[in-house]
Amino acid sequence: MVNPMKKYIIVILSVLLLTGSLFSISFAWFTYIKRKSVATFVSNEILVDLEVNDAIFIDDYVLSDLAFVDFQNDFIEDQYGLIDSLASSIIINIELSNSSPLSRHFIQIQELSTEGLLLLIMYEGLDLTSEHVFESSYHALLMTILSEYATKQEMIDALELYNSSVLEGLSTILVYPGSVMTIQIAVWGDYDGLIEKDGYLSDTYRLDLTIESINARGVS
Amino acid sequence: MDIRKSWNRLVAKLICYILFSVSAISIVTYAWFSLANENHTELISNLTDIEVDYEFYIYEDSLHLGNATPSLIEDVCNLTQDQCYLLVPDPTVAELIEGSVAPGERFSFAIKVRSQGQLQAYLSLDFGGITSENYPRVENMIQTAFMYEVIRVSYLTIEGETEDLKSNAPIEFHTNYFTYEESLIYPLVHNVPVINLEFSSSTVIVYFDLYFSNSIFGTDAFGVPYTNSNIFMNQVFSIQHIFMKMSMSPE
Repeated sequence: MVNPMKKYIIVILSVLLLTGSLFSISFAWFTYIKRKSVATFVSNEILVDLEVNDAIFIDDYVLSDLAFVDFQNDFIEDQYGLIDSLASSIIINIELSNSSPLSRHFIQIQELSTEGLLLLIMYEGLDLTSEHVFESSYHALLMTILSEYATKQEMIDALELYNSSVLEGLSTILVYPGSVMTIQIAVWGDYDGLIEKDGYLSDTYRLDLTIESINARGVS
Repeated sequence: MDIRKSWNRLVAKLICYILFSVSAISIVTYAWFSLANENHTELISNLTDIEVDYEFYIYEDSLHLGNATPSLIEDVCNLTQDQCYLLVPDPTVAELIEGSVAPGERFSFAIKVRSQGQLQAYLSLDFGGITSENYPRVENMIQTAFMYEVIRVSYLTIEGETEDLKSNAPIEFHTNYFTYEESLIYPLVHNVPVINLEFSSSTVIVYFDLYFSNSIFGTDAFGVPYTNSNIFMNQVFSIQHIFMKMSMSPE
């Protein structure tokens, strides 16, 4: 015969267990979780296409119409009013691919061979339209840069400083994917600066162009 | 014999009392739920949907600078705009951030939670489902270069938004980098009261950022650190889940 107390105890325990379960379930109802998605980020490499005077730039570009000028009479004083037309113009387009991140271009242009070249570097802009008029009043621009200097060396140094500041300024411009940055380089041969004047017309004058493209918040 | 009878009577009475108490508690509990049911229909699913509304926003920013002074009041996008918060109605799939991302870039997000009821509830946000793709080795997963950070916790009032209250108890906020563990849950912010009695507000906004660090570079096969972030190029980083948990009491 089962002790009636045992029955009571079983009943009490069952009721308490049921009650406990009820509270646990109730409490669980007041904590809920909702799950949503956030974001996907893609980190692509930087791809740049380079065009020089509308031709894809691969290894080098040959200037075929380089004119040599007299530094004082032509380059500074422009006695015959021809210095603008004597310049060899190089238009450089730097196109950032659509898949690239927001970027900046660090550009270096170095004259590698002789001291016989005069360079004037100009920033034309981003994503130029067909209506864009490229800078061609080189002598006027040169005068704003060089007019306060007396000697040729001072003027050469001032021109190099100006070109460096233009390139430095380019490195601060944020370029969006798909955008094209355009710069122009006007080049003259400096007859007075030639070390060897014999056969200078058949010599090769080399310019080294380096473009380092990094992401907008990267460090060069 | 009399003692035994009175003992049994006592036990019987005790059981009656216990059953009565349990019944009373059950009725009260059930009544409470019934009361809730009057307003909110079925509890488990609809309590969440009706009592609390969520809105998820992504900061549209072509410069990828993030938003250091976020405000939904002033910055919600009307149409296709830049430098504003775009409402993502139901982010069931991880939203693809436009354009390629790069080290040093920051991305801002906001979650607005509005309580429809009078009961205080506490919001917790956690990240999960963190994945990287196209990585060469686990040490160089792009997710390890991403940091998450709570920028601001504020409440919507009639006048506008309150100041940043993320440092107020019982709120716990976290700033950390993701590790290469994809199965981990990463706490972002916990115990945010949805109702703020001081400001008579029942809408809270949590602003948070994800930052692609430009000082984490990964390591080569020998454990030697790289000197740039190139190892993360062509990888894809996803945060598949944000868990929005509501509790009736702080954890």
